[in-house]
Amino acid sequence: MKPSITWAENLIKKIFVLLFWLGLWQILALKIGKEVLLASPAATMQALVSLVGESAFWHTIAFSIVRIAAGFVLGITAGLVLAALSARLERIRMLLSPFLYAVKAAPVASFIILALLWVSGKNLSVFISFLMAMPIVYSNMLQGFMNVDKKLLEMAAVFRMSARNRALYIYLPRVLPYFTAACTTALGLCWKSGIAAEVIGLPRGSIGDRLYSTKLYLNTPQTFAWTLVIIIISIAAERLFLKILGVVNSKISRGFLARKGGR
Amino acid sequence: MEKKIKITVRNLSKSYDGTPVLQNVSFTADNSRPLCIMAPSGAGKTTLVSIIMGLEKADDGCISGTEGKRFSTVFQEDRLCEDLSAFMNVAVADEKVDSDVVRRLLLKSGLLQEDIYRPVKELSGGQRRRVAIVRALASDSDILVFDEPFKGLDEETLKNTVKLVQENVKGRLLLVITHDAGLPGRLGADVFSL
Repeated sequence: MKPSITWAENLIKKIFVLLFWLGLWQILALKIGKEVLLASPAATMQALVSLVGESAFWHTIAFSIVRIAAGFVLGITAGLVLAALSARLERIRMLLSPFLYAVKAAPVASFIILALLWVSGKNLSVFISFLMAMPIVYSNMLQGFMNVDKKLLEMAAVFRMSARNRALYIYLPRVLPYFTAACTTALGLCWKSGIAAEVIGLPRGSIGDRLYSTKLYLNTPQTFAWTLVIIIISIAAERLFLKILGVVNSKISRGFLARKGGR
Repeated sequence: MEKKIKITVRNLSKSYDGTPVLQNVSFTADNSRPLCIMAPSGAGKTTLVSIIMGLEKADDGCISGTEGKRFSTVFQEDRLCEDLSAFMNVAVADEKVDSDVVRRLLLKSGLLQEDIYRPVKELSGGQRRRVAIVRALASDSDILVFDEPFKGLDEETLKNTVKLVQENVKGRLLLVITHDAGLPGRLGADVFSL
C-alpha cells in the first residue's frame, strides 16, 4: 500500500505547487489590472480554448513540430557520425574543433539572421534546430566514445568480436547515458531556438508566425496561450523521446538475449 | 591427426620511455605441450603476451607462426562486460559458439545454473575468473594465451579449473604466464623462465 500513498502524496504536493503559482499569477494580474501587460490565468485559458477550436491550430503545431524535429534528427545524426569519426581520428577532431566552438559560442540570433540569407524562411527552423542539436550531441558523444573501456576493446580485438556485438555490448552501455543527456538538452534548445527562428523568419502557418501576430495585435492572452502550448509540447516531446530511447534500448538487448538463449 | 601449431619468438625487445622491459627474449612453443612462461612480477610477462597477440609492437626481434592464427585469451584482469551474464559474456565473444557448449562449460567450471544468467558484476572474484577462462576455452581459436589465469581460486576450484582447461585445450597451443612455480607440474607444461 505504501507506494500508492506516496504517489498520492506526490500528486497532492504537485497540485499544491501548481495552485500556488496560478494564485500568484492571478493576484498579479488583478493588481496590474491591464490584460495587455499581463493576461490572467482565466483569460489565457479562454484564449487557449478558442485556439484549440480552430482547425488552423493543429496545422500550425504540425508545421513547426515537423520542421524542428527534422532539424533535431539531422543534428543528432550528424553529431553522432562526426563524434564517432573524431573519436577515431584526431585530425578530424582538431579540424572540427574551431567550427563547433564558434557554433556553440555564437548567439542564436546571429545564426538566424545569417541563415535567412541562405535558406527560405519556411525551412529556417530546420537549419537552426540542426545547428543547436549537432554540437551538443557531438561533444557528449565524443566524450562517451573516448570513455569506452580500452581494455574491453582490446579483449574484443583479440577475440575478433563482431562489429555488431562491439557496438551493442561495449559501446552502447557506455555511450547511452551521454546520448540520453545530449538529446534531452538538445531537444529543449532546438524547440526554443526553432520557435525563435520562426518569430524572426515568419514562415506562414508556423507557431512563430502566430506568436508574432499576437504581439502585433497586442493580444496578450493569445501570446500567453501560445507560450503555454510551446511549453506543453516541449515537455511532452522530452518525455516521449526518453520513453522511445528506453524502449529501443531494452528491445536491442532483450532481442539479442532471447535469440542467443541467454534469458 | 591434429595440425601442428608452432610459434617462435626471436630476440624480442621492448622499452617504455627508455626503460627496457624485455631484452632479447627467445623461445619456441608448440601444441604438443603447454608452455608456462615464468617470471617474477614486473618482468614484462604481460608486455610479452600483448606483443604475441598483436596488441603491442616490439622494438626489436620477431615472432613467427602467429600469422593467420586466431587467439583467445584470459587477461590478467577479467575484462568482462559487467552488465552481461556469464553466459552472454562467453556467447558474445564468439557468435559461432554453440549455446549448449557455453552452458556445459560454465557448469563444468563450477558455476551454478542460476549464476550463469546473473550479471557478472554480481559474481565473486573466483566465479568471474572462471567465466573469463570459459570464454577463452569456448572461443574458436588456434592459440590460447592465459595470463595468471588461476589467481584468486581456492585449491579445490583450482584443481577443477585446471582439469577443465586440460580437457578443452583440444589441440590448441597453450601459453600460460605465471609466477606460480607449482602450475607447470599441474598442467604438465614445459617451462620458460623470463
